[in-house]
Amino acid sequence: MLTFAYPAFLGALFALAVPIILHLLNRNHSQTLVFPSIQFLQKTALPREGRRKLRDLLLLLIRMLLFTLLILLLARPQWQKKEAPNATSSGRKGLLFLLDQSVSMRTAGQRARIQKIITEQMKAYSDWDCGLIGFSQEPKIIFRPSQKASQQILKWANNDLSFSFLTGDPDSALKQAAVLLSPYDKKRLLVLSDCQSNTWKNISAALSVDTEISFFPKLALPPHNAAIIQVHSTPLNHKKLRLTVELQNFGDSEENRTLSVRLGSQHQQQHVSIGPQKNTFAIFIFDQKDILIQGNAKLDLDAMPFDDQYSFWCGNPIQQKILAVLDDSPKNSQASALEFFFLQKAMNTKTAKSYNLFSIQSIDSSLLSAINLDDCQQLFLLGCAEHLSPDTWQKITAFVKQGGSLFITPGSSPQTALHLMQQCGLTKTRFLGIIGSDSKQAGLGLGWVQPDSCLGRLFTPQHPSDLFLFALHKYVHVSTPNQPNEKIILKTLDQRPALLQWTLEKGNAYFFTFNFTPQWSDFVLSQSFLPTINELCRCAIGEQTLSKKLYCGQTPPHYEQLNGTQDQPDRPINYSEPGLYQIGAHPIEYHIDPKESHLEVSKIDNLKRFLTRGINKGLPQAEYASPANPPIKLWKWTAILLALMVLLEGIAMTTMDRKDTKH
Amino acid sequence: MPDLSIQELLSPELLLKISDYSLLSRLAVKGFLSGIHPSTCHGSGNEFVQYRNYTPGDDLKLLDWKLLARRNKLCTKIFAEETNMRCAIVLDASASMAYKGKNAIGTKFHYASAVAACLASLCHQQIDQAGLFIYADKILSATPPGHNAGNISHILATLQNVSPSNKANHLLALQKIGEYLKKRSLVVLLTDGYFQEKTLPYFLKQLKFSGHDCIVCQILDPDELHFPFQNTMQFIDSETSESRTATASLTRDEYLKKMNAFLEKTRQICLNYQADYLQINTSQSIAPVLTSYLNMRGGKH
Repeated sequence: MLTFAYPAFLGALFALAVPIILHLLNRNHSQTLVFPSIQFLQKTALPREGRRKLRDLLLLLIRMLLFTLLILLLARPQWQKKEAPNATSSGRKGLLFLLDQSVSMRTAGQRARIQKIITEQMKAYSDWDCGLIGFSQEPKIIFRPSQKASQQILKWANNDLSFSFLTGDPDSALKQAAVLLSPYDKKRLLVLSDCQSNTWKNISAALSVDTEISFFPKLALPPHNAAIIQVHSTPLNHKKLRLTVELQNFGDSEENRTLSVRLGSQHQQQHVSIGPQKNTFAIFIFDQKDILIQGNAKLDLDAMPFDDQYSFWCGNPIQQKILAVLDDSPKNSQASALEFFFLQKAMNTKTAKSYNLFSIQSIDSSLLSAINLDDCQQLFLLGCAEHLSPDTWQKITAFVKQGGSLFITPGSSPQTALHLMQQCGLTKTRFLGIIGSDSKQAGLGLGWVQPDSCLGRLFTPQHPSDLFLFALHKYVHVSTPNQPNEKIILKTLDQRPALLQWTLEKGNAYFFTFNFTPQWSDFVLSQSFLPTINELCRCAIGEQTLSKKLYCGQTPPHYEQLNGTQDQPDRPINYSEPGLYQIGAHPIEYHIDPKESHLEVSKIDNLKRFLTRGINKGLPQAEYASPANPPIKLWKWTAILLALMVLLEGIAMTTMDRKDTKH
Repeated sequence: MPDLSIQELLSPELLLKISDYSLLSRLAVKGFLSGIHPSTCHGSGNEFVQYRNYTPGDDLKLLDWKLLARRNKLCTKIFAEETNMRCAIVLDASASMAYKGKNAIGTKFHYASAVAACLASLCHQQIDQAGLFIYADKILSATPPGHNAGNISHILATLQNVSPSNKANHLLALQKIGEYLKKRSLVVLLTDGYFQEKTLPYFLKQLKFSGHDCIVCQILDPDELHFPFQNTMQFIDSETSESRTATASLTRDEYLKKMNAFLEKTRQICLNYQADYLQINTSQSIAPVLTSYLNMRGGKH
């Protein structure tokens, strides 16, 4: 039987009538002329005209045939052999439910609708082998197709039907459905899904062309939905917390809703109005009664209730520990203590009023070899680098490699310090001298900030004076780095390195060519000191937020301490549902993916066409469900015929032109 | 071009242009009014012709007294008498004369009517007797040459009332017209000239033997002369209603060849019988055609 993959193109065959109609309209309009006398006119034109008419007719036929073939080519003809009664064929009929269990199916009344559909369909196909595959992120064969499974499916639908909090991915489920239905002669797939476009847009699996696919428009998404997208907390001064709740309206009409936020025993409420397809923010200020508090935001429920609640952590981010190592040698201890004084002052400014991200402690350099560095994130070597043993340097290098941050200021012998650092593989920068040790070269300043460094972002070129206005009396002259992992962050006015950054695996080491005492520079006395140090430290630990926000289904992160031990969650994590957890000191939030809140729906016709287009991506041929008699594709023959017709038309045209020219 | 009526063709400007000319008869005509044409009678004219011997009974005032005194011989002076002319305009009103091509001023019949009206007017102006005969398959209208005041008005009214139709029966019509003209006349034949082979020679021969002066005006449309058609068309003969389908571009050369031969043959017949032949193209203005012909014929005042 001749069938067409795209029969809609056959409608264009009506266009063939156009030249014929034109001919019929014009045939009676032959020109006549009443002439005074026709005695001198000959009838010689008539036979020639007849030949011309015949040629025109032939040409018309060729062109009409050409047009017909073109349309047939577009319609993709195929020959489907009639299924002969086969002794081996069992004539089995297989029905498979493909149940979307993604979170978007948690809309009000969806469960009852699905139960009703399953019951109705089971009655209609009582003599078919029935099976059921559920899918959210992963497919799950709940019942394999069999005659026995029918009753079990009904029972399951009434008692155990549930939906996940995960996003949907029907691709693997469709592949499994194709495999499960392949042994059957009659195949039917009933898709129980809301056809949300986010779920169905990335499907690549295709079913065999003889599979009948049914969707159920009853299961469509509701027309309105507003959702809480996320909540951010920011610690403010005077133990206050600011909560920013982001809301989104996915519908095409304005939503006026009530937003309630509960934080411990505190409760606040706001009326919010969200424009169609718009985002909006609601701000709440709460008292911060604890360092870490659980909160909950809630919109009054709509048809999609799963995205109207949002649990979150709020409070202060975890304090970062900084260890400052001071030189305990009698010659340099005083300067080192002075450096610590300025550093402590910079890191602890306004501690009383606002939350401070850093907590700083100091130890003597002789004790460093005995100290466990695992619980600190940043290490300051304040003028003591030259007094550390090679073993200690190895330990420090390991600390940096594991992700720690190291800050080094020069002491009494920066040459020795750099030599030790070179030995332990921290840097290849060479010592070239000390500038400003005599009075002649005093009075230098900083002149250049690496634009793409953390300080480049802080001290913009528009405001260079923030950093530049201080005197540099003395500094270590080092070689310009030529290694890819070494770069200059600050330069002096005479273009020599003032602050160097050496990257070592996960961590960074920062080498100041001057120390934090007024003898070396006015830097510590200037307003630039505090933001520079603070920003360097913040950059060293990366973006620090209070909690890690994850979507359901994502695996929880691993938090390792510097000693390699792994932080354990406070309770077993069920990452397929929303919830709040703590891994060590790290708060974790699990939320529903906002993609599932969207109301955009895929067109069922397109989905059907796409699913049965006969492409079996990523599935072995043997495994793939194919019809018993695959149709013979005739488009190649049509194309050949079309090419022949084009050739024939060309020949006919050339011949006619030549004859006309002769006449 | 729009089809113009006789009134439009026969404009005052045209009449003014041809009024400077006169239609002269080349042969002596026998009129009874004095006019500008040579008469077959000698007598009271102004132009001296010859002497002849006096015979008793001759008018003594014609006796040349000076010659009698010189030679003592009685001689009478003979003068050529100048008289008026009878002009018969014969107009073909067959269906073929109704044709008008794209480039023509009017139908051939309208054009011929305008020419006839001009000539009649000219005759009236020079006190000649103008008559009009219109024929197709029979004589449709016959106005014999006369000199009464209403003759010209009657001719013009007749021209306006007749329309071309039917197949021409030239032989019969021309025989009858020949019978009408008993006295020597100027016969102006206005036709498209699709005669049967021996009609025109027979007619011209008859006129010549009767002593008539004859002008044959063959009025043709530019389409007949140049055959400018391109497509395949069905041509229907206006008189016989016979149809013939032909591709104009293919048959043009043959047509023009035959047409030119026909025109040449017509001209040759006219020459043989000492008749003037004038071929008129209906795309041309009437005034220059007529004035050039009259000028050539020597009738400029």
